[in-house]
Amino acid sequence: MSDMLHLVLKNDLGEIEQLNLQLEEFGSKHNLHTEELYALNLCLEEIVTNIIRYAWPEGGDHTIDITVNVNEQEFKIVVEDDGVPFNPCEVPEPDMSIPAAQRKVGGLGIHLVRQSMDHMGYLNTDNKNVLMLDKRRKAAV
Amino acid sequence: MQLTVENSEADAPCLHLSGRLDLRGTQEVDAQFSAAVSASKTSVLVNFSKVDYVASVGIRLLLSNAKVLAANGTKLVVLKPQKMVEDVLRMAGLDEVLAIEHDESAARALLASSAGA
Repeated sequence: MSDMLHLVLKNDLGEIEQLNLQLEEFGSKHNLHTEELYALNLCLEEIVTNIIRYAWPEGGDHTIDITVNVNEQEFKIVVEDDGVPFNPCEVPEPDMSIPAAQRKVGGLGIHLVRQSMDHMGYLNTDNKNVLMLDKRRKAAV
Repeated sequence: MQLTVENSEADAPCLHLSGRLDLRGTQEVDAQFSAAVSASKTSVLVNFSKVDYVASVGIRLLLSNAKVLAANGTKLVVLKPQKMVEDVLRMAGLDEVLAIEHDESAARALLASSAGA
């Protein structure tokens, strides 16, 4: 079994709901574990929210291109946008030695993505940000 | 996202959340949640049993309110979170600033024993 979900979202935070709905549908079609669907939802919501908020400081209409590939072994997610170059892999991990009450709240979303996925990679190509996320699956579908 | 505040004369108030603490859900309850926490002179219980999803925006809401309570020497207690929601709260390190409990009477006992300490 192998299948793909392709989504093109506008740079509007209202699109997050559309993202969640499409992922739910994809999840039930492929009998994804609730935990897998949760991780997919969480990662894409955090990433897309960041892109919508920060990728186009000048505003205007833009799109975010999302591809999710799933087979028996893994998920592969690719998110592309043509906003300002931003490599989330370079965002430092929150310093867990600082008590949480004093820790900066920024970078929390990316921390959750790193924790939920097995691999995160980034390319800047043709003036596009290309973020790649991989997650191994727990069990065969 | 829905929030119901259950006030108790003698005991910590309980905020019952229901739905998804995603971007939209958190915005829907943010003001009411923070107002209820600020109004409380005691620790606050937050019933999470009907919350099926939490994203970083929801974690920030809990964190900022836990800090408000901590500054007064009181606590925020997340009650009965679902497994995946609890995993995300722990991933974010929230278990250091607030308590996560699965039994309401144990949570209330914990608060009673730490009150005045």
